[in-house]
Amino acid sequence: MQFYDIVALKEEIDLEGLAGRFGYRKIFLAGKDVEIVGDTMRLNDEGSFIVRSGDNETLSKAVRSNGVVGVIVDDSKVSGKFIEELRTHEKILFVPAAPLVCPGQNSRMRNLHWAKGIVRTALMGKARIALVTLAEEKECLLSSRQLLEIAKLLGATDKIADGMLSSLGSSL
Amino acid sequence: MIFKRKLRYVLVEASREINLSDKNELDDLKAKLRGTMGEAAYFRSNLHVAAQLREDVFIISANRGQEREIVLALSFVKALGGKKAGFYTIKISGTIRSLKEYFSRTY
Repeated sequence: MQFYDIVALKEEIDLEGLAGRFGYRKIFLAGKDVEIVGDTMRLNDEGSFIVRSGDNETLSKAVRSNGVVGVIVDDSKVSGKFIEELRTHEKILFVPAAPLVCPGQNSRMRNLHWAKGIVRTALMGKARIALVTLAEEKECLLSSRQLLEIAKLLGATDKIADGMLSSLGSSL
Repeated sequence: MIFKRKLRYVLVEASREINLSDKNELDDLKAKLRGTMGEAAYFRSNLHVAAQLREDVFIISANRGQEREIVLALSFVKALGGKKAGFYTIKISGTIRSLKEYFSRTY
């Protein structure tokens, strides 16, 4: 099984060497390999986009756009209908792991509960999920083995956890 | 029948140089792991630092079956001795020798 990750590091790091040691086939860099945008205004440009928003309308619009690989739901619940839309348009629901390990302002338990809820809804709706670190600092990076354990902590089985780390391969 | 304790070894890389021969740093790491794992899981794991291979690479030993808990707990440790630090689990093996060989091949 080949695993992939997306990071949003501010400092320059040799990602190829890191990917080799951490057990990833490739670590994508946000801003270079894939663009993370907050709205659907720039989606006509060429490239791969991930739309990050807490607004359901923006997310629904993003799911129907061609250049969008997937969406990140920012701190809000997802409905079964939205998950169905994701599945129909073959988009990925990205779950960032950095807020779970480097919680920042929110408490870790709150973030874990939120992520567990969103993963459960997505699994029930049979949508594609990608667990990525999206780390902005190198302390928040995780190896593939750690990311697999976090996927299992969020309710995935061994097989689903593998799928959550490898689903990016066919999309980016 | 003699009970033979089986261990698993975890190769860990840190995001910065750490010195686990310094008792304060080692105690802080153990306290943080105990905090994230919970006391029962920590004592069940029989966790020890088996070797420090480089300033930022070391090996942890734990009872077989408990290594996954340690991998998860290490993900949540983000500071050591008051300074930022991340810990990444690179490989798990049944022998310390194979991890040392992997280390010399990879690093």
